[in-house]
Parts: sequence; C-alpha cells; structure tokens
Amino acid sequence: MPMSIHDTTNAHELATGVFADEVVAVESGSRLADFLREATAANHSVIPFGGRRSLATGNPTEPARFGLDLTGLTGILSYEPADLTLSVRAGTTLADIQRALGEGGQELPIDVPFPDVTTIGGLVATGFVGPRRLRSGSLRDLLIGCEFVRGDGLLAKAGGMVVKNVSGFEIPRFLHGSWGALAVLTSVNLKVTPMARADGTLLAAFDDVGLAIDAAHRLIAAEPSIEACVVTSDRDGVRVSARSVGRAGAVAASLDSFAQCLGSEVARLEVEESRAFWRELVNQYAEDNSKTVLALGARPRDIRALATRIGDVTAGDESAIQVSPGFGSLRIMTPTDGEDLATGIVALAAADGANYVLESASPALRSSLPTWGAEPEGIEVMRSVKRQFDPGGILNLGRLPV
Amino acid sequence: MDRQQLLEELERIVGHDGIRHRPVDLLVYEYDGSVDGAVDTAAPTAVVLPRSTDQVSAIVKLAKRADLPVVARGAGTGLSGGAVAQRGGIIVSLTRMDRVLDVNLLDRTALVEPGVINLELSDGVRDQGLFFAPDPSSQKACTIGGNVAENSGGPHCLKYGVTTNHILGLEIVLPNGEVIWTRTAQDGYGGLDLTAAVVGSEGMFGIVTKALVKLTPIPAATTVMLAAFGSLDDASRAVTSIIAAGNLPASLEMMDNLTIQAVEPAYHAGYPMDAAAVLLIESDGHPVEVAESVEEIEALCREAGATSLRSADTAAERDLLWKGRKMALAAMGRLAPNYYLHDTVVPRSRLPETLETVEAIARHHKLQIANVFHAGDGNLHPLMLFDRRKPGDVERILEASHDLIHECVRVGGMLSGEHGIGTEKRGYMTLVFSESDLRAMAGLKEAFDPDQRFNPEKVIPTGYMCGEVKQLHLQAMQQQHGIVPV
Amino acid sequence: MAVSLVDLVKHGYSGDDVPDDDLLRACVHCGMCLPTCPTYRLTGQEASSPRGRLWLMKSVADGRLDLLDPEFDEQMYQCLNCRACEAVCPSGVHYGPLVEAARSQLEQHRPRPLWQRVRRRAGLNFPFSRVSRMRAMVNGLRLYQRVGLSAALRKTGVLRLVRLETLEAMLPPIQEAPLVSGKESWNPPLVEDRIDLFNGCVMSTVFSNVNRATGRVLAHNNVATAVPATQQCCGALHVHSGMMDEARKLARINIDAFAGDGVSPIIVTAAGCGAALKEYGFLLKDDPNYADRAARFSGRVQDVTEYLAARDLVPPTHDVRATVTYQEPCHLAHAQRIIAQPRKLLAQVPGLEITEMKESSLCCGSAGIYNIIRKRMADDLGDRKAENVVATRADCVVTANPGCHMQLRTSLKRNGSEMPVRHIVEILDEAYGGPVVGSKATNA
Repeated sequence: MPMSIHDTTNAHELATGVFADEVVAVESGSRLADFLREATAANHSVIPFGGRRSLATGNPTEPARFGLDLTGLTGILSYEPADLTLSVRAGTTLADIQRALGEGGQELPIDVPFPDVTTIGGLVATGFVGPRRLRSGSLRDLLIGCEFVRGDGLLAKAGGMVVKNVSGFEIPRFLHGSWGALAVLTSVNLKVTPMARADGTLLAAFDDVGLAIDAAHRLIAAEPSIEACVVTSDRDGVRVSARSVGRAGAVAASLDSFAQCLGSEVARLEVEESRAFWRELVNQYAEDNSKTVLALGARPRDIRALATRIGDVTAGDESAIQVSPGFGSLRIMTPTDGEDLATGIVALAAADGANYVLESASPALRSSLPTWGAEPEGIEVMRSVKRQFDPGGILNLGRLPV
Repeated sequence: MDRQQLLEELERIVGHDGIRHRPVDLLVYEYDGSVDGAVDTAAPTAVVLPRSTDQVSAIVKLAKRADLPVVARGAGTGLSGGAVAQRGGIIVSLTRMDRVLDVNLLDRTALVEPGVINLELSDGVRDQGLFFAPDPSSQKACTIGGNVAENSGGPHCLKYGVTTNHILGLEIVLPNGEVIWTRTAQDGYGGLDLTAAVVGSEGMFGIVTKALVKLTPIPAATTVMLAAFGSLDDASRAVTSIIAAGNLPASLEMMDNLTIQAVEPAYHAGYPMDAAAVLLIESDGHPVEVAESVEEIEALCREAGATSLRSADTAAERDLLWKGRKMALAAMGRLAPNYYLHDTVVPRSRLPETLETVEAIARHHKLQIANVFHAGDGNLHPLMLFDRRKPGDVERILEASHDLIHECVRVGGMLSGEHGIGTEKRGYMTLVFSESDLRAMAGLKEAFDPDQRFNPEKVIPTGYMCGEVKQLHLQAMQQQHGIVPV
Repeated sequence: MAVSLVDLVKHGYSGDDVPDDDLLRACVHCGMCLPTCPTYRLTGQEASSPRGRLWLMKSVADGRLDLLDPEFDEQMYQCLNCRACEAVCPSGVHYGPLVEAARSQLEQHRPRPLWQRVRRRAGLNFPFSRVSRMRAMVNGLRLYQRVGLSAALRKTGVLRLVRLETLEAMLPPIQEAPLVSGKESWNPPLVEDRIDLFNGCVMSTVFSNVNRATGRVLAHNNVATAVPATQQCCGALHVHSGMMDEARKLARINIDAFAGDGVSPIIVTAAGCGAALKEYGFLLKDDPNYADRAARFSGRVQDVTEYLAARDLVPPTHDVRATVTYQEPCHLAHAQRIIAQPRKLLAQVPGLEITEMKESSLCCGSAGIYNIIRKRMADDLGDRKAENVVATRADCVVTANPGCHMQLRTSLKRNGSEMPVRHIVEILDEAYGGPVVGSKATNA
C-alpha cells in the first residue's frame, strides 16, 4: 500500500461536503494499479482527485475510504512540435501544459477555469467544455490516446501518438466525461494546434437575452470562421461577446463585420486583453463555491426560449446567465439560498426537454435535487460498463448515475 | 431453431421483399471492398433489408433467440473486412434506410438514417452553406452508418477532424434488441458518452439506425495550391515546415512520381510529369487569413525546394487540381491490373524516413508501390501494384504489407489511420497493444455485447474475450511476435 | 455456413462470346459503382448492383453458380445496361461488354419457350433488323395517329400480341415523314467540313424532324451532310439482348455503307446508336475481314453534340426564351463520357436559361427496350425522373436520345406534367431560325 500522506483517523474534507478517511498520493501508473487492485480486493471506496475544482459536483453518499491525490503525477512525457502532439501525465496543470506548448508556438485551444490548479486529467474526466467548442472543439476532439487504470487495477492504454487512428476501440474519448467512475487516467495524449497569431473580441450590448441570442445566431450563421460567441446576462447587463482568432488582418476584418452584424459595439479587445477576457469568463462560474451553478444543455434552436423563461424567473435577483447559442449550452449561477429558484429552473428545463447538471450547490440542495438530472438513456449499458471496468464498485461513488 | 423457422420469422418481420436466403442470393454478400487475399470471403446464413428501427430491433431479438451472429452492412465499401460475416449469421443491410429525416440550420445538424450516402448528405445541404466534413475517398458510395462504424477520415480531416468529431448522437439497436439514443459529453449531460464508444467500434457494439450529425459551415474562401518537388524528401520537409510555422491547412496531400505518371496522362490536372512528388495544399477560412497563409505556404514550399507552384481560387480550377488526387486510384489501372491500398499512420515528423522505408520494401519485394496520401496527418496510403493472375503476386504484397506494418509501428505509428482493423489487421493488434490493453477493449465489448453477437471475430484478436482459453493463445502469440504479457 | 452450389452447377460458359476473364477479374469489388446504378438505388440489394452482377458472372466462370440459375438470368436482364457504373469505376471495368456477353451466353444456352422466342423476334428482330420494316410500321402508326384509328386497333388486341401496346402509348406525335437514307442531303454554300449522318431506325422515322434539324444546324455551321444510302439499324438493341450474331451482321452492313471516303466523321443523333457504333471495333474484333475496318469505323463516330461542341459554333441568331433542364442519356454520359458538351452548346443559345435537375445522370428507365419488357422497374425509375424534372420548374426538358425522349414524355404524362421533351438539336435549330430559314435540303 502506498504511503499515506496524512496519518490521521479523522476524515479529510477533500472539497465542500466530500470526505475521505485517508488521503494517499501516487506517482506512477503501476503503483496506482497495485493500489486499485488491492482496494478492489478489500472493497475500499476511492475518490481520485487532481485540482479539486469539480470535486464537489456529485452526491457522495458517505465518506470514501481513500482520497487519491494525483497531483504528483506530473510532467510532459513527450512533445514533438512538428507532430502537433503532446503526451502528458494526468496530474499536470493546464497552465504548465500551455507554457510548454507556448515555447513551441502552440497551444491547446481551450480556456479553463483556474488553469494554475486545474489538471488535464481532471478536465478530461469531467468532460469540460469551453466556449471555443464552437469552432475548435473540446478536449474530446483533441484526445488521441491515454493510459488509465481501471477500478479493478488493470493498467492499459488506448489510442496512440498519431492524429488519425482507428486501431482498436475509442476508449480515450469514451473516458472523457466519465467522472472517474470507470478508471483513473494516468496520462493523456492530445492533438495540439498552432497558437493563433492574433486574438480579438467584440462586445455588443443588448436590451434583453432573447434579442441577444437571436443576434448571436445570426452572427454565427454569417461568420463561418467565428471562434466563440457567448451571450451573458449579469450585473454588467446583456452582452454578446464574439471572438476571432487567426492572423491579425483576418481578426481585425472579422471584428469589423461582427460589429456590423450585431449593430452594436461596447468594446473591442485585442490580443492579450481578449485572451484574458475569455479566461475570466470561464472563471466566473467556478470561483465561488457558495453559489449555486447549474449547467444546462439544449438544442440551439430551443436555447432562446429556455434562456428567456429562465430570465423571467430570475429577473431582479443576483443571478447570472451565460449562453453559448451555437452549441446549446447554458450556465446559470444563483445565490446559494435560491434553492427554490434552482428547483424552478430545473422544472423549466425539463419542460423544454433540456437536461441539467448541478455543478455547484449547497449540501442541502444537493440532497434535494439529483446532481445529474434525469436518468440518461442507455443506463443499463452504462452500468454494465461500470461493472466491467470497476467490478468492485469502488471508484467515485455518486459521480454519474452509474 | 431450424433454418426454415428462422426464415419464416425473418419474413414476418421484414416481409417477403426484405429477405434474401437462397445460396445464389448469399453469394453477393460474401465480400466487401477489401482485397481478396488480405480478407477472406464468407457467406451469411441470411440477409435482411429492414426499413425501420423496429424491424432492426426485432431481427436482433430473433437472432438472439436463434443464437446467430449479426453483421450490419452499409454500402460494403470497407477495406478491412468489417462487413463480412466471418462466422455466418444474419447480415442486416441498411441500404433501404436512406432518408435524411431533418436538417436544422440553427442546430447545424442533420438527422439521418444509416443508409444515406456521405456525399449526397453534403450535396443536399450545400445550398444552405453547410457540409458534412468527413470525406473518405469512397464518399460517393459509402454510407453514414458505415462512416460511424469505421470512424472514417478523408483528406479534409487534417483541419476538420474525423467522423467521431461530427456525430452528436446515435440511435442504436443494442445486441439485446433494445433501442437507445446515445448522447455525447456536453454541458448539462450527466451520463457516459456512449456515442464516443460506438463510433469506430466496427459494428460490434450496436447497429446504428439513426444518426444526429453535425454540419459544418462552408468557409468563406478556399485556395488550393499545387507544389512540385524534385525529391520526396524535399516534399516531406515542406510538409514539416508548413506545420511547424503554425499553419493548419484544410488538407495537405502528397503524391509521388509513380502516381503522377498514372494520373496526369489520364486527367490532365496539370501535375508536372517530371516531379518526384507534388503536394496538394488546401487553405480555407476568412479571405484575409487564406490570402496571407497562401503567401506564407508558398514561400515555405520554395524554401524547401519547390520546383513549381500553382494556386487555384475558383471552384473549377480547384476541382481540376483535386481531380488528379481523387481519381488517383482510378488511374492506377494504367500501371497494373490490381492494387492493394494500404493504410498506416505514423507521427508526421517520421514521414521522410517512412517513405524511404516504403521504397526499400518495394525494392526488397520487387514491387511497384505508389504513394498518394494524407501527408498532413502522417496517414500513409502505399498502393501496392500487382497482377492477381501472376503466381506469387498476392503472397508478395501480403509479405510487403507485413513488413510495412512492422516498420510503421517501429517509428511510433499505428496499424490503421482510417480503414479500420476488421479481420485484415486483427492479427497485428498485439504489435501495438499489450494484453492489458486488449483486455480493456474486450471489457468494453463485453459490456455492450456479452454474447459476442455483433460482428464476431473482428478487431480483438482471439483470446481476449471472456470464456476463451486465454493461456494457449497467449503462448502462441508470444512465440509469434515476442510479446510479453504486461 | 458455406454456400455450396457447386454440386448443382451443370452449365458454365461455352461457345461464342464468353465473358472475358481478364475483364471480369479487373473488378476488385470496391463498391464505387453502387450509387450510380438505377436498379441498386431502387432495390438496395447487392445482386441488383454492377458489383453484385459481376460477382455472379465471376461465380459462373468459377463453377460456383449455374449459368442457367434463374436469378442469374433475372439479374443479367434486370440490368438496364446504362453503364453509369463504368464511368465511375476506379479499375476501368468494361461492364457493358461483360453483361452483353453474359446475355449472349444465356441466349445461346437457355432453352426459351416458343412463345418467348416469337415475341422477342417480333418485338426486336423484326422491326429493327431492316430500316424499311420500321419505316413501314411507323408510317402506319403515323397514319393512325392522324386519323384516330387507335381505339379500333387497340380493341383488336393485335398490339398486345407483340407488346406494342406500351410502345404505342410512348410514341410522341410523329411530326414529319421518315427521312429515307440516300434521299436527302444538306449542302451549304461554304463547306468547311463534310459528315455522314447515321440515320438510325427510330431517329429516321419517329424523330425524322430531329435528323433534318441536324442537317440544318450543321449547314449553318458550314458543314455538309450526307446520309449514306445502304445503312441499317446500328444493332445496339441486339447487343443489349445478347443477340450478337444479328448485331454483327448489321455492323458489317453499316461498315460497308459508310466506307465512302473513309475519313469523314460519322455523326449520330441517338446516344444509344452512337455508343454501339463506337464499339464495332470490339464487336468484330475476332472477325479477320472486318476487325480493322470496324476499329477505323468506330474511330470516326461522334455524337452530334460532341462534334458541334468541338467546333466554334457560328453564333445562333434567334433568342430562345425558355428555361430548360438537361437529362443526360446514359449512353451519352456514361458509355461515351459526353457530359460537358451538350451543356456547352445549350449555354451558347441566346436567351436560354439552363437549370440542373437532381440526379441528371441517373437512368430514366428507358434503356433501349427495357421499358417495354420490364415495365414496373422502368416506371419506378421514370417516376423518380419525372419528380426531379418537375422540381426544376423548367419550361422544357432536353435530351439527346430517342429512348430517353419517349420515356421522359410518358413518365411526365403519367405524373400529370405536360412539360415538353425536346432533342438538343431542336433547340439549336430554333436558335438558328428553325426549318424555314435554315432549310437547305435537296433531294439527291
């Protein structure tokens, strides 16, 4: 058994309301395999974690036996700029990855909350999706391979270090968004992209969310190269933020046509300002654990109606909404005591056929509202996969309804 | 269940017109697009041509009762034997489920049945300024269902990604006959990304009966460049420097001299006959972006020693440049009666040495090998030319292909970039995957299909499924490939 | 379960016209042909695809399938021989000659009941082996179209006996008297080139107006037209039906008829005839007396659109104010790969708008006499075509083959459309001022 870093009998609070009797750290895949094999044999429950940014999402039923600290599993295993590929251990932070890629003039085209602590393994496991999914995709689209340890301790790899590959089943992509319920990632291989030479954002103001979403849909339809387009409604008012990346000339021309299409221009952010703006935008919904955050997914064609109705029930309070109309994502943040509000929003969403995930909530709300929304279709297959990968059922209880 | 009873029950599901079962009917379902010799043919027990999801589900439930394998089939253009019923059973031909059910411009999605032909989907939404990005070379014939099963690629995958990047959800019939919609990881979804598992599973996890696919906006500007080089090495270096300088073209294709010799006289695309290699580079996006990147790419090509450069902005000029590439296989008939189209993938930076290896293999086996491939992805397509009627020719290409796979794996490559494993490369899986890796894959398969009903004897080598006598096979494999269990 | 038909195989290929083994084996079953095949598109089944049919032909060659298996017969004749598959085949498989050889094998070895033999002879061999017979028949039909004997004739059941019932329903109003070979020619004042017109059975009778229009349009372009006297039917329908000996007889007659100066282009107004004439070289390759002459003959053959598009057209003088859509005859687009030329010609007609239909190169279901002998499949294809034609909202559909012409007309009618069907040359003729201005016919 690996050394325990906290020799205590008291439960550790890994994140708000998430406890483990003991925290252990591992530094290698084979050690991790041994550990999970033994944990399965002993029927010890395990909560793996990296930057802990999403650890409070879910319904832990009781304290786990072990908290599994993966932040020591760091380092770049291979990076070949000419190949546009990167292999990195799962506990490496996004900031470290972007720094290394930056030296090769490359990047991962994704903005994530708190890159200094957020780990790549955690991002893949939680299936993080950012505004740039509109054109550059999410980590799901960048994953080309991984190494992982199943709940039963089987250490395996899938995919490879080539950008196009159909040799064997797509386990890496399948583990994306599996919330550590099937396996623990030890390393991931990613496709990277050349860093955009210029970056620009145009901010436009609107009177209400519905009109802003209509304008965003028009903009997206008119601009095939648009990188991201988000509608926000918060204390700054209602805004459409549209981003362009590429060569300076193209970005400048794009921002001009964005302004023309939207018929409004509050501000124009260039290069570093633009980059910082999008980093802050994703931080907003992750920085305050005391707020309730709901993520909703709906078809783009339905997102306007949904956002408008949510806007009606949240009018006048401290709530904030962020919508990506292009791919039907909506995030809403309400003050903690707004439990009824959250329940009301969930009911609205359900009526529109949209599902939700309760990303952040008070323990009370978490116990009254299922974190993962309605039971997904194919739950039997999912449980069957869970039994194959984690036959002892020790991994991440309460993460995903499997 | 005896045969007569099976046929009667199948007929009850799909009607008299929907079933084929006489020996002569089954003859034509023995093959797919794979090369004879590399993939064995095999006849199914019966073929059904359902018209609805309900029918597919009923067929699968019946197959379960009759304990027969089920093999889904689209256009049968696959190149790794995926649609061949190796152990017999029921072939479910999805060619009659070929409707585009819905196109939504706000969602930028199309809801299609599996038998819809890839190119016809793109053609159908072009007026709306959209297209379906995966464009395998067989796109005029292959179906979306087949694309999903094989996770098909194509020249434009360099920028746009492969099929899995363009599938948002799938209606599938599971091996127990249950029908489910799979979803994809996204905000607000709390479940496993079953879509990711099913795409590329070669028909082993579920039969796709509907697909919700992403449509991509047609870029505002597109330019195609043709750069000729005096050596393969110069051309490969140009590829590397284009990528290293921070360009990500929509596609970056290479053709060697042998290919040019076949193509140019047939299609007059304007490829210089004396070039050792040409690159076909497509840049698309914002007009300003395209103009600047074309200038930069041309400069990089010149630096790498390009002997001539041309570019085309109009659709007609672009089509002509592309024609040579797209018709390359067609033109090979001018060089030899048969060809074996290979598919391996290496890290981009290993292209120059891999091309040398291909040349060496050609010399060693006294074969003509033409190279026409997706250079930007490191996805090689050596075309091994042969004549089936000459004794020993088939054996030589199989040996050469064996050597090629080993060499590609040695430099960090993989077995297949887009054609799939099927039966063609199943025996090579242990070259790149350990016993644990294969057990993990087998575990996923068993979660979907514990009875091994769907498309048996594909992808996973014998010996990794539950209940198989593992040890014997392991020993055999250790002797064969020197693989040590992890 | 392995398919074991071997025990049942009694008949293989033998005699004349055995499908060429090298041609057969050129097919690597890649499947690129599938979506182009009309019967595959309708049925979705592999046996009804070019790849499936080639595999069946190979299976007979390999002794795995009996030549006389009813399904083999069914598939060889279900094929429209439209040759759309050939145009897209990466391996360059010559599908047409293979399916024709397979049919020839069936004709030689298949015992057909007496009534079938009589019907085939009556329906095909009789009218098409002598142009004079066709002329007489069409003259009769023209007469009865004019004086309205149709009802009376239909009652007698005479038409049904030889399945002329369908043919009768398909015939457009016959506008002019037949063009008798050797009796007319066109001689413009300035002659830059001379051609020999292939008159054709149906073109010289039912569509004689098109052949005359061809003479006028060529005259406007300073090309003199002769119509060699002793020419006969091209034999295409015989080849399609596996009646190879009859076809070879006709080919020899035509080669002699067009001996002339031995170099003038032979211009054809029917895509089906053109495709057959261009294959005389293959048809007679084993005939020591004719092999070379046949190859040279085939080298002279050009479709009228192919010939005109290669010249600089003298600019047409009259506006044709209409929107047209172009249906590609299979034997033009696929068998002869003539795709751009008709469109190029139409684009030069002042005032004319061209709108493309969906699936313009998919067979309309005519395919020689297919629409007579396999009405249901032909009707399905015709309906699909009519839908695509109507969807263009064009004023007129243009084509370049008599079979397509008649099938389009019938299909449009059946689907409630009165849209006219015209040969591309008729449009050009109109653009040059039509028969009055341009007529330079002289009786030879």
